[in-house]
Amino acid sequence: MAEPAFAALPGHALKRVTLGGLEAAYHAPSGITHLLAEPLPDLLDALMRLAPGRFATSAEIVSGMSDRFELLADSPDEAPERVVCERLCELAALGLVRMHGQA
Amino acid sequence: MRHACFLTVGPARFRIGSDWRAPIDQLRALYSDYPMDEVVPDFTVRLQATSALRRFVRPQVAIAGDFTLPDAVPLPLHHGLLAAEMAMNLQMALGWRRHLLLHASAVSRQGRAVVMTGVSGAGKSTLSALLAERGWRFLGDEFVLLDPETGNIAPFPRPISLKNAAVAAMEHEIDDDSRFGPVLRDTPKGTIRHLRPRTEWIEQMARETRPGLLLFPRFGFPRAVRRMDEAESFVRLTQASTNYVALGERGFDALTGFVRSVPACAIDYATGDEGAELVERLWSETGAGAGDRAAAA
Amino acid sequence: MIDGWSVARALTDPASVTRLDAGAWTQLLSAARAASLIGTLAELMADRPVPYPAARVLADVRLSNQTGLRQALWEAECARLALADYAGKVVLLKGTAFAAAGLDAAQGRSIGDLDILVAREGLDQVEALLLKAGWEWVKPDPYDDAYYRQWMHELPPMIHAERDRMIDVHHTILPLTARPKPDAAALIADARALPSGLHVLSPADMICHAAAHLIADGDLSGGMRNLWDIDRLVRQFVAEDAGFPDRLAERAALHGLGEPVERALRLCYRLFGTPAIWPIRPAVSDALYLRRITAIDGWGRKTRKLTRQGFYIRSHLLRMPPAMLARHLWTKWRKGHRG
Repeated sequence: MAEPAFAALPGHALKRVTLGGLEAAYHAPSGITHLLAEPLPDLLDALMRLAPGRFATSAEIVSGMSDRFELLADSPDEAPERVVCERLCELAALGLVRMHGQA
Repeated sequence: MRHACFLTVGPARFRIGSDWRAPIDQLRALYSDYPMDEVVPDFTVRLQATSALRRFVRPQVAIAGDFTLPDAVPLPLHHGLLAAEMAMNLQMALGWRRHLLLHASAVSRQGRAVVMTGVSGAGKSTLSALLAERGWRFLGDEFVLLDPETGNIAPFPRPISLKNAAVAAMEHEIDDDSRFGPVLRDTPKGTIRHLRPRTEWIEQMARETRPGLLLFPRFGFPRAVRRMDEAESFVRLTQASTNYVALGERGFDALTGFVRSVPACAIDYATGDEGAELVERLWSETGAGAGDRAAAA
Repeated sequence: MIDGWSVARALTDPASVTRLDAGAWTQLLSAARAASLIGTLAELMADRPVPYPAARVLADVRLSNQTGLRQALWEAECARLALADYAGKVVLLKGTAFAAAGLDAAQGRSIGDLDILVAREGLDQVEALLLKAGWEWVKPDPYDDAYYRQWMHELPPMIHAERDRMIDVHHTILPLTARPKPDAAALIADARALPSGLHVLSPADMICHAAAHLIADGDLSGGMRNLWDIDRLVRQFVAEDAGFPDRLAERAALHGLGEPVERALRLCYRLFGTPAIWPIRPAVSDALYLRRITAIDGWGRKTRKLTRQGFYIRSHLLRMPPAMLARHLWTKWRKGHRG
């Protein structure tokens, strides 16, 4: 099966507001408000910067983020790509990012 | 219906119909300072007999209207005034769309409001009643209406629904029996007595005000003040709002705008006087960091 | 005096109500709300001059319409995602179908639960997939559960744990106990695909479903809204396809729903002036149906209780043969006394 690839939603579909250390995100298609903690807002930002409207794999997203963030997994044998992929899959399940293919 | 009246409270207009005369007479007395023009209402409320026979035999008031809950329990006729109040609350909670509705009380001073929210019994209603007798403008004890376009608060100064110990406390505070409604005993919420806001606050109910401070009061605990961050305030207020979801993006804008614009504190207090004094103090220290200074003191 | 006919007049001739006074508007709004047609009225009046206090009520209703539409379409999308591994067609029904297909009937229509139709042999898989995606049973009562599974045309209702929204999964459009036996396989075979991959019934089957629902499957309490659906659907389908009346006749005959469809078309013609796409053969009982359907007053109360009681008993009899009804009531009664 193809490696999953992710894309940001169109700008009007997700409205984000910083609230202290968290972020409130209003998802227009569902009308549901989500509260996002680190690193989810950064991932969404990276997705929007990296490939507006285009799909990118978690590896591409990680390499796009590495100049701004030092990506460290909780455990040394966990690849950052996998952690990023898992978080993005969670966001996709909520409808907050688009996803193609499944691992 | 046999008996009816119209009432305007803040921006909301109600038409109340009843199978019996008594609840309408009681409403007219309690709301004598409010406009009663027969305009097209926002909501229709019906106090109706649970069956044709029940209009006369141990009469039961069923709460009905534009918006109803399927499992609303009927009340005996001598609690008809309470049924009317509950029905009006229900219309607002389920049907109002012009403002973001927060289950909260509010008072203001110098054009800036203190919004007080919390679960039922936390003391927000009594605290607003107390402050309204001590120089604050009364904006409402049940719902705070936030305008999504301007961020302003539209007053909704309904008669205050005092419960149990709060009845005696306010009777002690106010030496004027004409300000109170009839005593309703053995209701599902215990003893209830309504307190009419001062006439001036009803006359000024069309005048909006800016929010200035958000408080989460808890009555009956040792005095404590804790600063609350924006995210926690936001989550708590989504739970305290009856129409946040229904308003969609307008609700999101209104609520994020609100929690970002006002300082917020959780306050615990042991007595009404202590609570009122805490609100006064937090108010005088208003502005960014008011809560931090109070918590450090 | 205001009743259901006043609401029907307002919907079919919106220009006529712009001249109403405050008292008449007050009653019209209450009656329209009670008939579940205030959303439609609000959309129809959107560009017309309406006195201010009534206009602001209607503006609020339009905001609620937007919210309801968004939620309904999102629920359909969630069901689509949850059922991605189901190979058969997932057919949206009723309001969600009208909205997803962009039909005129969706304009201002209140949409409640999500109703979907799937093949009976696919029920187990659909049920399992929905449970996996976060839906759960509403009624834990084993008697009700057995009753649904044995006699009804749907699974017991499920609710999504997080979104708090219900889904009704149908495998046909009438209870198995009802006399007409619609051809469920044909309904699904003829369903039309939407760009999303979800399906809706074919135009003729949509009318058959709405008519079956009105005449055979309810106590007519949502009758006006149901007839309004049919009115909008008929007008749109006839405009798009001149051969539609014949196609409808074929499908109604196939499903054994000729009589209910004919009745529904007659009632629509009387109430909303719907084009008479079939010859109108009036029946004496039409007057009784219309009397029941329009039994709403200016306070939003359901009036004419005796007529309604008659229809309630009738609707139960239609759904269940008498012996079965007795068993159902007895079990309920016994439970009532145990509790």
